[in-house]
Amino acid sequence: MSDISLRGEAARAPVAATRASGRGIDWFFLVAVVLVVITFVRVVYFTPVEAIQGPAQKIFYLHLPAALAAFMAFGLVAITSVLYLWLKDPKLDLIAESAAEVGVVFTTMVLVSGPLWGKPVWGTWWTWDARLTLTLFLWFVYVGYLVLRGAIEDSAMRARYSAVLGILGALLIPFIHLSVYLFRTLHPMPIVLKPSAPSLPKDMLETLLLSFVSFTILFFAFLRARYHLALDRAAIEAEDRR
Amino acid sequence: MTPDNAGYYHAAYILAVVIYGAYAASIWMRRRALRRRTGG
Repeated sequence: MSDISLRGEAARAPVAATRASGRGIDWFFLVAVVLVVITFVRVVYFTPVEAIQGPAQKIFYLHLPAALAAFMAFGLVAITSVLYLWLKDPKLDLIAESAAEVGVVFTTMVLVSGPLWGKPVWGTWWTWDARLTLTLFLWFVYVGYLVLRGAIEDSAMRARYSAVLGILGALLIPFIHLSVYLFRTLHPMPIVLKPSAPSLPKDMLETLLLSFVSFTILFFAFLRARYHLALDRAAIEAEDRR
Repeated sequence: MTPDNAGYYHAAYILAVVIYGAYAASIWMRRRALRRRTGG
């Protein structure tokens, strides 16, 4: 038996015994929901309206945390994919799969909230500038990643091919973040995620930080729930093979 | 003068609830379907 097929066998087996437990309330998810509700209340009632952009600027508190969560998700896909190719632990592949799906959800939120902010502020729903276009590509790459996973039955082959795509897709992330420096774009320069101090009024900065925390916890709550689903599914696949 | 564009911001927050809510529901329904399949 070749080295590759040995690794393949190792990759197929061990998830079988592991089933995610728990049918009751997901307390972690509940905490995330409560924090998101608190964030929404703060955005609506306790955060000032920006004078030039008007109320539409409040989309910022949805758009930026969703982008950050998407970057975390696809970064995690890349890290766990590299580790999978090295260690061949199927659980790493399941984490990558879960993070990719959650990342697609947050990127969808970025792509939906962006035009809703762009229309009143820039006067257009969409423009093919570098950041928007690269973000759309990122979404397509990881939708493709999920489609690819669904198309391959052999679990070891599926994990190996999707790990390669997951790593390559994440290479877009630094280009998206640096696109405002590298290319001509309608997006403003960073006002928070930059080397110097954030250039936001205190009230807005506090709301943004709360929003970052809430949506990051929501991201991990989704990731945890999706990983449990992946574990259950892998265990059933393993039982079916017997 | 501050523009009156609250409709866009309301639409964005409603869509956030719909997208995140639908995703949470999809995970819950997929796990429930798996449990039914295994009788768990």
